[in-house]
Amino acid sequence: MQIIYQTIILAILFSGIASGFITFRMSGMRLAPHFGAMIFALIVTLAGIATGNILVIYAAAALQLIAAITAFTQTWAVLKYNFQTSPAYAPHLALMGMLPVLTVASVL
Amino acid sequence: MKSIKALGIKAPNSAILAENIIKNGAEDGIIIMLSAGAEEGFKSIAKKYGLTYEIENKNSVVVVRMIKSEIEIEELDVTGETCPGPIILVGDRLSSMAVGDRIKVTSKSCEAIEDIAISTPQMSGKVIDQGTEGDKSYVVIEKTEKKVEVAAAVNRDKVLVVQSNGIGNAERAYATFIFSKAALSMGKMVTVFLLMDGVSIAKKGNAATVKHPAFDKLDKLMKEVIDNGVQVYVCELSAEFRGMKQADLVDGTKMAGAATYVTLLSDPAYAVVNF
Repeated sequence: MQIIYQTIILAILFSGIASGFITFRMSGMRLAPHFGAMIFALIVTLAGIATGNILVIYAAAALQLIAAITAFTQTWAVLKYNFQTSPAYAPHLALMGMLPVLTVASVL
Repeated sequence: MKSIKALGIKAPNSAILAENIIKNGAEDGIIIMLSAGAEEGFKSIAKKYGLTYEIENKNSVVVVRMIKSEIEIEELDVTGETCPGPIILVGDRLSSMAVGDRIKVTSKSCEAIEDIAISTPQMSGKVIDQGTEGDKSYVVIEKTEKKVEVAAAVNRDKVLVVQSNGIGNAERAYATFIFSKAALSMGKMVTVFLLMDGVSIAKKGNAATVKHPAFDKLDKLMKEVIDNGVQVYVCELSAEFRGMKQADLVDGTKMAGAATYVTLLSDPAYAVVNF
């Protein structure tokens, strides 16, 4: 179990909160499910690092994947049909794009 | 063509005589010689039967020529041209035509034909006929004299909302229909033109993903506005660029090209709200 990966993920999630808030506002609150998943993932990831409990870390990993998946599924229409505006979404999606790789690495 | 001497017959009997001659086998027109003053009423007959009207005075005799006009119609097929190609081709051709000449524009895209028909009056043209032949749509345009418009006060009772932002920018997307709704309440006639990212609003299902904290979902607001008579145009090129066709758009929206957009902008009665 690599706690370092989870620590990096924690940093990404913290950054994602800030960039996510921008996209959340710009899309008119419709990213709420993703935003909720991300906040929840942040809390559980922090708990996993703090406690070192393997079950908590596995739960955190699952939530991290959910956060990444919802990020892209909920912005799909914007990316496809609204690409003049999509650069505003790029910072957040770039951060979310890093999550799956680090998450998988942290639990293997 | 019949040539008739009708000296001594006065109006309106002369007109009645001419009309009867035309009805009974002289559809291509007649040349009739009349006494002075007897040509009254002939102009209306010429108009009624689609004939040209020419009058010539020779001493005490008036020669009236009423002849069916034979106008050759030039054909221009703009199938496959990407907007604004069709309007550029038609505009260039019209500018080199003489007054009275006609051109028939055909295309497999009915949107392109409608686009041309809407903008024809602003290109010194008049729409003579419009319809469908087989799998193609067509419009017949006649070149007219360029109107010299006298400056006059125009009642700005129309509102044109131009939107280039789409579902990725919720506040601007909502502004399109909020302003439209307000304008309708004030008795204005409203037209919406979506272009670039704005066309994403009109795609089925997209507007439902947008929510403003103070209003219902965007698709409901859009439907309400459309149901109240607002015409929503969607830029053909922008939609095509995003892989969207007319079938992908919500009911009540319509594809339109650059010519429609420019025509709307050129109308002095429109107050333009541009996002």
